[in-house]
Amino acid sequence: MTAAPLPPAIEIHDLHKRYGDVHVLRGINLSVAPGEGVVLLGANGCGKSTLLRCLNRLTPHDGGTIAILGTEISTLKRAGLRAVRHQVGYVFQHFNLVPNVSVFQNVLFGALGRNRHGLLRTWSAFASAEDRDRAMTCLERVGLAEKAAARPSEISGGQQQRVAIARMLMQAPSIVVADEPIASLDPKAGREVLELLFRIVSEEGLTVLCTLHQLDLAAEFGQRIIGMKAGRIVVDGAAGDLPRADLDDLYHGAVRVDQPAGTVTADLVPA
Amino acid sequence: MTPIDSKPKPALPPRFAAPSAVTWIVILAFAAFFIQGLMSADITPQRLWRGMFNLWRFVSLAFPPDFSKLDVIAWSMLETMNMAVVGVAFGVILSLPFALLASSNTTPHPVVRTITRLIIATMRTIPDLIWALIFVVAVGLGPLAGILAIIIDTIGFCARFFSERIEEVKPGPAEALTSTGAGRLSVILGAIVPETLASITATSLYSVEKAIRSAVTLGLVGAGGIGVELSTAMRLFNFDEACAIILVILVVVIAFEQISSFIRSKVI
Repeated sequence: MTAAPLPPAIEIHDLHKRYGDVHVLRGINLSVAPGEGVVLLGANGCGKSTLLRCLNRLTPHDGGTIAILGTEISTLKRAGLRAVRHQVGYVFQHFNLVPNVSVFQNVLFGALGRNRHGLLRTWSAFASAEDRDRAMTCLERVGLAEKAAARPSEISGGQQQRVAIARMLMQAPSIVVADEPIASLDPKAGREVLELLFRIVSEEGLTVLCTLHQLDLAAEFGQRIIGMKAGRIVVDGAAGDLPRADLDDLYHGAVRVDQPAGTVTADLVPA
Repeated sequence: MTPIDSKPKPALPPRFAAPSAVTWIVILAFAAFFIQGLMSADITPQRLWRGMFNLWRFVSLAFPPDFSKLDVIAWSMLETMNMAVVGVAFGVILSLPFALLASSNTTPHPVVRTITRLIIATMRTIPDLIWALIFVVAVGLGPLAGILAIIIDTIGFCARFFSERIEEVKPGPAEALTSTGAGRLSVILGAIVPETLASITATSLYSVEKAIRSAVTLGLVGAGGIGVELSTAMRLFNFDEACAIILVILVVVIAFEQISSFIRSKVI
């Protein structure tokens, strides 16, 4: 790992974000190397989702810098920002498929950022034969080719998340950001989706940053584990090296960003 | 253990509460307005009696209805339906950009949103008959004035409902498409519009029903269609012909509403 020719996939320096009075991100420093598989842990409300949303400026940050593959994103204009977004594929907790259009069309939407004519060349009826073939291949890779014509509402949650992964594949990013990708799924479907996601990530040699709530799965799938607590990174290490107590501690004490210090778990004490 | 009656028992809520001063003012103002209205209508038993007599005379002259000019009636009914369908088609198409500019999640800028909402509200607040009067002045008598009035009326109605529906769309899918690096317009047309299509179709069909009803009356001010025939027949005291026209309107409007609600039940 000496003198890597590539810039870090993600390089964050002193990142701050406030929503009104709530100081959500309190100085995040993080560097993720290309091809690294990172699992991000932390209790609800600790700022994980906000951090992930800042990475492609779905949520603009207030202070600090974020560089994606060496490009600083906070000053980018529209076209530059779109080019960076195209490099970062997202998988969301609630799948975020477009209802009312077919599964196949949802996968084709992954190519939106690549086509200069946007929707015009991504709409199934007008898409190039090449893109249509590619979308079908993506669906095959997640094992849902036979569901191409179905609506998202007609398939199970696990299948919907696999369609979302196919859409991400269609986008062909170099970084994958997954925000609690299995939190809406039952344990069995969740594990299947996670196995699929990490298999594809390793086959494609992608960088991945994934938030999870299950410590066992984090240790199993992540090479590196990062723990967040109340808007700061407090744990960072190789998956095998971290003591379990450190990880358990992420969920105790002042974990939330909207909780002033001193009112630690006051809501758990019976009145 | 403290005995229960050691504490003073809280008073029972009263059966009746005195209305507040504002309530009194509203009630009194309404009553004054109502009484003044009744008095200005000049209702006397004599007039009511005469009215009933006239109504009976109208009904006895109107029946049996005179269908001898059915061809003329049919043609002007067709013109009315043409006005409604053409007006609604343009109105619905134009409503979509208005609605997108007026919705908080699709507008390019809050100022654009405010201005667009103001324009839509103006179109909706001014009644269609007044729009027809204005367009008769602008383009002369005939169906074009009616079509223009219906377009404006449809935008005022549809753009508002479209925009309410657009604002209800969950942000998730749009964020997912934004994350692929898609442009704003692609996101709106790819993620937001498809989700509103069912509701937009239903609203559009409803506005066809609405437009047929208003196209009937637009003729009364000279904006083409069956209303012209109706107002002529009434003025010439050809009540049997007027009755025939009213019956034709009734049949067509009911048929249209049935078809439209059938399609709507299929869409939703």
